[in-house]
This record gives sequence, structure tokens and C-alpha cells, in this order.
Amino acid sequence: MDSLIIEATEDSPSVMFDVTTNRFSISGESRPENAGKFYTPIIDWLVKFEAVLNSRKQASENINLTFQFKLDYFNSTSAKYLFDVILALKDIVNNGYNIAIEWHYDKRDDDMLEAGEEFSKMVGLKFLFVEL
Amino acid sequence: VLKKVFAKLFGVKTERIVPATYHEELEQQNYYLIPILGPFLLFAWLPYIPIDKKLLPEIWIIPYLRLGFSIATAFVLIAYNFKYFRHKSIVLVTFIAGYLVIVGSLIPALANANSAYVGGLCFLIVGLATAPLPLKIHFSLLVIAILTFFGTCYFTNVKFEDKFWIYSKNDLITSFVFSGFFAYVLNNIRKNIYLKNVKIVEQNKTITQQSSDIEKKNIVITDSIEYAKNIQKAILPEEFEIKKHFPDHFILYKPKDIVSGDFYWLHDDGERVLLAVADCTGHGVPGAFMSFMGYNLLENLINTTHKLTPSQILEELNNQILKVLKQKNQNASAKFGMDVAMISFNKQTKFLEFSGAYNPLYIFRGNELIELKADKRSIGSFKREEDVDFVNHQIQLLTGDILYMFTDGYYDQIGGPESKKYFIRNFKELLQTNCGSMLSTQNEIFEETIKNWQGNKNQTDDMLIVGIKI
Repeated sequence: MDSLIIEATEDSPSVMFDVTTNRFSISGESRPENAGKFYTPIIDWLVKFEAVLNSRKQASENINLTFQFKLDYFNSTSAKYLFDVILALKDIVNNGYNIAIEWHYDKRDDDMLEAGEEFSKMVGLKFLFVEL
Repeated sequence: VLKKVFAKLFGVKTERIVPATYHEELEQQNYYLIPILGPFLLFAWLPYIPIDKKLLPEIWIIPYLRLGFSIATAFVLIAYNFKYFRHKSIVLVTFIAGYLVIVGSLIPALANANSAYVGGLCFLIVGLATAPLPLKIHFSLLVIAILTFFGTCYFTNVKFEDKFWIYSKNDLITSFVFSGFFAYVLNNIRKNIYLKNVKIVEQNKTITQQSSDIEKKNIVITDSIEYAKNIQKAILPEEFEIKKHFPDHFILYKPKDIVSGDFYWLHDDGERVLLAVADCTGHGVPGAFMSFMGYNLLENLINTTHKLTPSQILEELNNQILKVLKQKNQNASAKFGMDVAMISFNKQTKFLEFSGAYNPLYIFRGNELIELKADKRSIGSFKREEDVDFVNHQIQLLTGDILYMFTDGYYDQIGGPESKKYFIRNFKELLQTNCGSMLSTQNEIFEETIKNWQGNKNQTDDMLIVGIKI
């Protein structure tokens, strides 16, 4: 399976899903005019990634994934799609894989921290909060 | 001036129009060439007249032939100014060149193929190659030159006894070959430059057409949205309606685009005034669509069921939006919705109830901030088992209390030295610092502050702040 690399634009974040290192990240600002068009391929990729993981189950114990959210801003529509991304991560976790989810936030950005806490609570996944 | 002359001489496109055909292009080049070269040619052969008289006094006709060239040039320069010759510059230049070639070949033949005179002919033949004439004319002139020279030599019994003739003959042959070759190469260069210019003009035309198409489309779209703005304006409560209940208030309403996903809503049920500040998902047109839906649903549910508390209204609004948008899938999150702060204010008792879907209510009592927290549930999202109903906060307001209801657009504005959000904590501080000022002053300060923060950046989202002094 190929890594998923999407360069950041003025209104969409950069996406780096590196399957060689198993380090995944979404970073930057997210306010695409059409959030569905931006996020659907990302969520589809994660679903496919999970299927690939399951197909080589025997090696699964050794796989440790890191998923970093390093967002400066996201609008309310993006929030709904980010929720779907986290749901996809939850599915992977439910299949017995380890994912360390990091939620990076500016130390002045109470809103961003709160949003991360809220996502973590809603999905029932533990986040590591990284203050910048 | 030099640049222009150069451009005209070599057919480089400056701002002149590129003709439709290559022939017209040559026509144009000749048209520019005549006034530049003409005055020079007028006197070109005159200095040779005294030399001819000295060297070949017996051939009396040569000075007249020389003079004839000046007369021919003068004729061309005069004709040039007549409308009849406006598009006949090639003819005029051919006429001069023809005179030069015929007479220029005739003179050395009459001069008994004197090597100095033959050298002059060589110079003339090579120089001729630079004229921007069609290739056919070039070659014809070369043939005419050969025929005239050798023909005249034949008829005047030139014996070619000059010991330098061998040298001159070589020169003459080289000149003819070179002139033909040179004319051919120059013609190709000219043609290529012309074709390039044509291409550039065509590309420019396409670009101009495209940008004007885009501009037209942009105008149509903008006009259409501008018109839609009027409709959106109609659903927002009128200034006087708000003033009736809250004489001291301000509303900072700044759509990111022309229409907004943020809206406010007011309802008077006799005893209470209901006021909502809502932020729909999206901005611009999709945001505005959502705002109409929110407005309509609020109006409907308030008219069908009486005396609902703010939390009941939010709960009902949530159900309605789920129904309208058919967002029934529990597994995926709903993609449309709105964040709402809703208050009901008892006009007599000043008793306030508040319920918030992500949007909180700030109350400043003096310098003290009373923060009524919003529920972390958006309107339009599926209610999960663990979700409780929206909390209905209650508080007795006092005269002088200031209420702030707002959407996230203000404090999410990206700007400042590090291109960061304004942040909610700075917004809180801004409210704290200014809550003692008159509301109209606050409005100005808030507008100014965010404008400075934004700088030359785009507006991040729709902005809405409602401030009310009890």
C-alpha cells in the first residue's frame, strides 16, 4: 500500500500518512470550501489501510502507529470530518493495533485543547496532548 | 527612437498591429522603411557625379542616370504620401530597387567594366538583399541585374581588357550568389518573427477572451449572491425590534463572503424575548442555506409550541434538522449543523434562561465574568445514548449586566505577527478590558481590533457578536 501524501494549500492541511515509518499526521489549517471532497479520500484511505493490516494479521503485534493532529485551525465542517477520521482510527484500534494519537495545540489555544479533549471523549480513545 | 526604428526595420513587434498575412507584413515593413531610407537615398548617388565627370567625361549620360535615381526617389517619397499608394509600398520600394539594379548594372557596363565601377555594383547587389521585398522580386532583380550588365557589355562590345577584371568577375559572382542566399535567409528570419508574432497575438487574444469570460462569470455570480444577501437581510431581525427590548445593544455582523452562515434570531412571545446567535456549518452560500433552514425551523417550532425553554428549543431544533437533512446514520457524524446560543429573557422579572450548543453565554456583572458554558453538542448531530439533554441555565439578571453572545469567527480570525488565531482567551480579555465602556464604543473597538489583527489576511470565517446591556 502506498503512503498518502497531500501537500498543504491555503485552505487545507498537509496530510502525511507514511506507511514505511507508520507515522501519520494531519497538520495546518483546515477550511476547504468543500470539506467532503478533501476528507473523503483520506477516510477511504484509512479504511483500506485497515483492511491491508488485517490481511497480514500475524505480524500485527509489532505494529505501532503514531497519528499526529497538528492543526492550527479547523472550521466546523472540517470538525465533522475529523471526527470521521478519528472513528476510522478507533476501528483500527478495535482490531487490536496500537495507535498513539497525539493532539498538538498552541498553549494559548484553549479552544483547540478543548476540541481535542472532546474528540477523545466522544470516540473513547486516549489522546496524548502536546502543548506547543 | 532608436529602439522604434530598429523595431520597424527588423519587424520586431512593438505595439503595432500584426497583419493577417506575411505579404501584408512585408507591405507594412516597406511602409515603415520608405520614410527612413528615402531621404538618404535621395542624395546617395549625388557625390558620384563629379567623380564620374572627372573619370569618364566622355560618357556624358552617367551623371544623368545618377541624377535620375534622386528623381526616382523623390517621386517615390511624394507618391508615398498619396492615398493611392498607401498599400503599395512594396511597389514603391521595388521601383527604387529596380531603378538601382538596372541603372547600377548599366553604369559599370558603360564604364567598360571598370573594376572600381564593378565593385560598386557588387556593393549594390549585396545591399539589395536586405530590402524587405518578397523573395520572387529579389531573385527577379538579380536576374535583371545580370542580364542588364552582360547584355550592355555585349552590345557595347566590352572587351574585358582591364587586368583587374578577373578579380572583379570573382567579386561579381560572389556578390550574386551571396545576395541570393542572404535574401533567402533574411526572408526566413522575417517570416519566423512574423509567425511568432502571430502566435503571440493569438495567445493574447485567447487570454483576453478567457479573462473577460471569467470576469463576466464572476460578475454574474457576485450579482446573484448580492441579491441573495437582500433575502438574508430580510430574515435578520430589524434594528428597531431589538432596540425595543434591548435599548442598549450592539451587533457586530461581518460575513466572510457576501452572505453569511452566522445569523441571529429574535422572538417576542409577550412575556419573554427569545434571542439566538447561531453559526451554521460552512460560510458563503452553503452557510446561508443553512441559516435559512435554521431561521425557518425556529419560527415554526416557536409558533406551534408555546413557552418552550431555551434547552427545549435546542432539543427540538436538533430533531427537526436531523429530520430535514435526513442525517440518520449513527456511525458517521452528521456533516451539516449549527452551533447556537439561545436565551430567553423575562421582560418583567429580568429572569434569564440560557442553553448553548457549543456557543456559550458571557455575562459581565461589573468586572466579574459569569460564564454560562455551552453543551458540547452541535445542533444537527445524532444524539447518542450517553448524551443528555441540553442544559437549561437560569440566572437572575441585574440592571447593568452585559450579555455577550458570539460565534467562533471573531476569535478564530487568523492574523497577527505569527499568523495565528486571535484565540478565545484574548477575546475574553478584550471583553473584560472593555466591558466598562459604552456598547457603541465597544463595537468600534472590537471592529478595529480584529481589523488590525487580520491585517492583509483573508477573513477566516463569518463573524457575529451580539452585546446587550440590561
